[in-house]
Amino acid sequence: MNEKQGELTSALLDGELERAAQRRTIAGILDSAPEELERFGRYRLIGDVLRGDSSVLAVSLADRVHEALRDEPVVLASRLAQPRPWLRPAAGLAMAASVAAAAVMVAPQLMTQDQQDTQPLQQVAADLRQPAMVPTLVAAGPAEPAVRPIDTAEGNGRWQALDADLENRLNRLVIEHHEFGGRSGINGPVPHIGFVSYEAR
Amino acid sequence: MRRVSRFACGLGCLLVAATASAEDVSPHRLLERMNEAVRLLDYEGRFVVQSNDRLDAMYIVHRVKEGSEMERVVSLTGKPREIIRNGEAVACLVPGRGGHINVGLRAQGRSFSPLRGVSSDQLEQSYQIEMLHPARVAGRDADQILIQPRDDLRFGYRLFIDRASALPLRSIMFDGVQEVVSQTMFVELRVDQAITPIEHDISAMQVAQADPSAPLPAERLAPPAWGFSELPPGFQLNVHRRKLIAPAVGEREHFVFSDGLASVSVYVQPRTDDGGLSGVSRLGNANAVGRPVGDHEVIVVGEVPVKTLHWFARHIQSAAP
Repeated sequence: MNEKQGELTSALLDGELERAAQRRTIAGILDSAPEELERFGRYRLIGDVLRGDSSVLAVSLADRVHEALRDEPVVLASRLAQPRPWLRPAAGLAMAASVAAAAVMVAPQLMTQDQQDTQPLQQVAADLRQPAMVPTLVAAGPAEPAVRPIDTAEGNGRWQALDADLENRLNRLVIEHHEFGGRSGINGPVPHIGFVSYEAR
Repeated sequence: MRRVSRFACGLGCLLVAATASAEDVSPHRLLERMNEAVRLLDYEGRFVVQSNDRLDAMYIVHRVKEGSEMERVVSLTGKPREIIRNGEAVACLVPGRGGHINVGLRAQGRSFSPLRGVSSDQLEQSYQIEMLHPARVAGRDADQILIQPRDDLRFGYRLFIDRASALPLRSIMFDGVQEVVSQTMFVELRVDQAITPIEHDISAMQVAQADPSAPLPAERLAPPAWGFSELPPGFQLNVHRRKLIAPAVGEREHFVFSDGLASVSVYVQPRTDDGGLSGVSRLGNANAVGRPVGDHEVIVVGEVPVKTLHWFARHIQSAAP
């Protein structure tokens, strides 16, 4: 990234570039050497801090989870008659995940390499009208986990033009899509990238 | 156990590296190795993500412990966002418009590869795959693969696969006119060497244990109540599951289709009070299409062209005679 590229990067982060110039600049950044990407990261951080968008960089949000769940009522009494103190902050999240995980059943065909050739638990192709469909996995999901909404950072809209309820429902569907859609690396190292890399300006 | 795990991971990495360096490796085999590497290796690094005009920096650490994947993904720019996952659950801590934490459910302790469900011949019917000249990304040698879709129902990909680990150093997804839809690229990567422990970060989820003795209601094992009169070429059903939304609302059916590389989820559920999704929306590199079907709502999600999502939404119908 030469000096001109640096200026373009700065203009990009300030939102001063037209759409075509934005694309060219982004492509230029991605084609740059790693040390130049570092510079982009610094520019970005500086911009975020100046705008008051980010004073926390790469700080674990686990503490925020603990904090948010600190007052969550412990309702796991039936399973954990005497919840240990260290479990308490995580109890709400644990309950949700526990409920969610309880009823899951998945056939092993796609999940484990060793058992790939075994028969699926339940063939449902005959019940579908498309003969080309050959289901290889049947899973029955659990009840919707009773997750209490927890405020995180101030929100930015992500799914555009959607109300909060629908947006949250879509978020959940996308999580499930990524979890049950598998992981190939074709879109990068992690399937949930779309959840983390969205509107950040 | 940690020592055994590290040895196993190290051995896996070495095996991947040894085979990846063979000169006669085919692009299909490279794809398979990449599939295995992203799921089975321990790695940590920073990468950038571009989606349209946005560019963000991210951090990832991925570990496999006792056969179970653990992972943490954090945004390094913008507002704090994070994904934490362990063997039982995935938590997405994102500042959505409602400011919610979304807790989802992992399919199993480790993820699977949709590529395993299709043969090389099937994949070739949907994509033209070829090797390009080697390149360097993040200071590492990479093999380059170009995957061109044979129709307009799926996106194309250009992959830079690390020779040493088979991890995807750079992944570019492009549309039918060769415009970049999204891309990710590592700027720093460590594989199986002093990977940051992430047990502390997922401690909140350690008690989220599945109860294997929980009985599964028979109705959830019932065949699908919905079917598809016609599927897009190359796509096949990989997953069907039912999920109880609430006793008063009913169940949601979830179908996952894949052509080996791209995946599409189709959800069908009774219509809700939020009005439902009508039309097209987008999140990151995922598109979503919704439409009402009788007293039900169909939502189709996937990293494919909107045309493909509409195909699924248009051809779904009740399986009842």
